[in-house]
Amino acid sequence: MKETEKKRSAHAGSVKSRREVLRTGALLAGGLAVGALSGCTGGENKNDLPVEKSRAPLGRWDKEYDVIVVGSGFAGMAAAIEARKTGASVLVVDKMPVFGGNSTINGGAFAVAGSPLQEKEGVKDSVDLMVQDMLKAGRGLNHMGLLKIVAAGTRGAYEFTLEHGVKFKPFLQHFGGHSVPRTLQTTISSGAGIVRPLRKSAANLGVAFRNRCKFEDFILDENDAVIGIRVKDRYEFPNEESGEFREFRAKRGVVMCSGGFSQDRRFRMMQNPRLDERVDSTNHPGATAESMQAMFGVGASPVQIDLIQLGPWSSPDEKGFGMVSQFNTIAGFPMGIMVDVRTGKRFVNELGDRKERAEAILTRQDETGKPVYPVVFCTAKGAEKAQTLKACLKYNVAWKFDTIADLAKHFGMPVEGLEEQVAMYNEAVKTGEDKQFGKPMGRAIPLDKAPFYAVRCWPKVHYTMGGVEIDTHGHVMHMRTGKPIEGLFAAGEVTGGPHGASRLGSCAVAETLVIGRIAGRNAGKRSA
Amino acid sequence: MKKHTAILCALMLAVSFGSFLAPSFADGGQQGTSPKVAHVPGVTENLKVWMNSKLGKPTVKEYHRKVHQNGTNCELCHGAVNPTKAPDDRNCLKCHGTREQVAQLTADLDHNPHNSPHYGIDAPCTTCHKEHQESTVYCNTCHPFKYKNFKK
Repeated sequence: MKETEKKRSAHAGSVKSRREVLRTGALLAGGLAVGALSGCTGGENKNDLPVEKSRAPLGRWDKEYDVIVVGSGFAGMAAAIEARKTGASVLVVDKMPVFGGNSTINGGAFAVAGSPLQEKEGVKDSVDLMVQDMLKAGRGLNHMGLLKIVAAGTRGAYEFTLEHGVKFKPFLQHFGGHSVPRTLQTTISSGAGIVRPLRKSAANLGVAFRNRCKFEDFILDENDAVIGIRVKDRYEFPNEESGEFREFRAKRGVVMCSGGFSQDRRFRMMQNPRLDERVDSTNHPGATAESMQAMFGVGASPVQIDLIQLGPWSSPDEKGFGMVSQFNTIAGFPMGIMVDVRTGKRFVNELGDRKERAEAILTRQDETGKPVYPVVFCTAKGAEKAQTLKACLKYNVAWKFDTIADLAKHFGMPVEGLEEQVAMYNEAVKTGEDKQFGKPMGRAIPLDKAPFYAVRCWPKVHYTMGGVEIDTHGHVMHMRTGKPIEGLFAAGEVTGGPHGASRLGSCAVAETLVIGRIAGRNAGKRSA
Repeated sequence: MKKHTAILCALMLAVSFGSFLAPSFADGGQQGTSPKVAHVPGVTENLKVWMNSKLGKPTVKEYHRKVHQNGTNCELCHGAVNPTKAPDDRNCLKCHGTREQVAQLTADLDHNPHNSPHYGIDAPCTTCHKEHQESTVYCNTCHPFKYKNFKK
C-alpha cells in the first residue's frame, strides 16, 4: 500500500497539446526578448519546442500532480477530497508509516453551531454565539476573519462528514467553555471515526497516498511561486539518515496540513523555555516543526507561535494522552477535587479553562524544580460515567481507596490537611458556592462516600495555537509583502489565528475540516 | 566463493571456541525457545550471530534465521543482494498471509494491534516489527497494552 493511484492515460501530463505549444510560442514572441531570440533561430520549428516557464530543467520531476497535500489528518483529508472534486490529480504525503497524524488519535469531538441534533433538542445556538465563546477562550487574540469563517462553516463541514460516512453519537455534549451544548462525538470516541472514512473516500475518488514520504522543502520558480516539493521517500521516522530525495511537481498548489509542533522540544522551548523534558506531550511522535519552519523559510508570516496549550488533565504515569485524561475530564475535575500532596489543599478551580489549570499545576514544584504531582480524586458516584476508569485501575495509573486517610497515606499527604479540605469542599457543595476558587458547583457532588478513585496529574503539551498566517481562502501570506505566496496553501494546526490564546475544546476538528476544505478547493481551482 | 570461505572460517572458529562458549550459548538458546518455535538454533549458529553482532553486521531474529539462511539471503525481504532500503511490506506478507489474515491471528486479543481503531489493518509491518534491531509496539506511544507473544 505504498501508493494507491488510479491509472492515468499515457497522454495526461506527458504531451503538450498543440494549443498549449502555440500559446506558449505566442507569449514568447509577443512579450519576451528570449522569445524573440528563439523566434529568430529555426523559426519554422519554434512552435514544436517544449518550453517551460520554470527554473526546473526538463525531465526533472520524479512525480507530477496538480495538488500535493502534506499531512493526512482532518485538514489533509478534507483538502484532498475537495481538491480532487475540482478535477485535480491529488497526492497526499505523510512522513509517518501510518496515516492520520494527531487527528486519528484525538477524542473525535466536533463543535457544530446549528446542528440538526441541536434543533431536535431545542438548543438555541448560533454562529455568533460560537464566535463569542471562542473569542472568550482565546482572550480576544483570535484573528476575526478566520474565526468567523470557522464558526460559519461548521454546519457545512458536519454535512461533509456525513456525506463521507462518518457516524456520531445520538446526543449532544457540553464541553467546557461553550455556552451551550454543541459538541458532537464520533461513535467510537476517536478522531479515527472521521479520518478513516475520509481517507477511504479520498482513495475511492482517486487520491494517491504515499506514506513514509517526508516533506523536506519547497521548490520555487523564478517568481518565488511554489511549484513543487522536495521529499525523502522511503523515509523511516525518526531516522534522519533514511530515505532518498525526490522532487514532486505540484502544478496548481501545495496544501500544508502538517499539524503542530507539540513533540518538538527544541522548537517549543524556543517559544516557552518552561516546556522542557519535564513536560511530556499528548501528541503522536511526528508532531514536529520542520514543515512550519520550511514555510517560514519561503517567507510565510508567523502568527502567535508562542501560544502553546497544555492539556491539564493528563497523567505522569502513562504516555501521551493516555486514559487518565478522560477520567479527569468526565469525573475527577467536575465531580472531585485536585490537591497538592504536600498540604492536602486545593490550589485552583478544577473547571477553569485549560490555560488557567495547566499553569496552576505547573507551579507545583519542589525547591529544586522537580515536579510534585498533584492528586485528583472523586467518589464512585462521581466516576460513574468515566469509561476509562476500569482500564486505569488495571494498568495502575489510578488507585482505589476505602477511606480518605488511606488515600492520603498512599500519596504521602498529611491526613489532617486533606480531611479538612474535604470538609470545606463538601460545605461548598452544600451551599452551592466555592469561596476558595470560584468553581461552578452545578455538577459537583460531596466527597462523602467510599470508595474513592484517585489519579496523579501533570499537564502535557497538547496544541500549538500559533503557526503560519493564512487568509480566508487558505492562502499562506508572505510576511514582507502581505500578499499570498503563490501556489502555497495551508490548513489546520500548522496555521495560526483562529484560536487566539487558548483553543476551546472540540474546536480543532471544526477548524481543520472547515479551512481544510477551503484550502483544498482553492488549490484545486488555481490555474497552473 | 566468498560465502564458502566465510562459512569455513566461522566453522573453524566455532571448533576452537566451542568448549568455552558452548554452555552459555546453550543456555541462551534454551531461554529463547518457546514451544511454538519451529527452529531451535544450535551452538554454531548462535556463535555466528554473536560474532556478526560484534562486527556490526546486521543480525536476524532467531525465528527468522533458518528461512533467511542465517541472514545471508537479503533478497528475501529487501529484494536486493546489497540492500540500501527498508523492506517492502509485500515481502512480509508473502510468507505471513494477507493483512486480513494476520489481523485474524490476533482477533481474540483485547486490543488487536493488527486491526486497530486508529489505523485499521493499514499499519506497515515494520511500524512495530524490526529485524535488525529491537522491535517496539507503536501503540505504546500512547497505550500501556502488553502483548505477551510480541517478540522483541
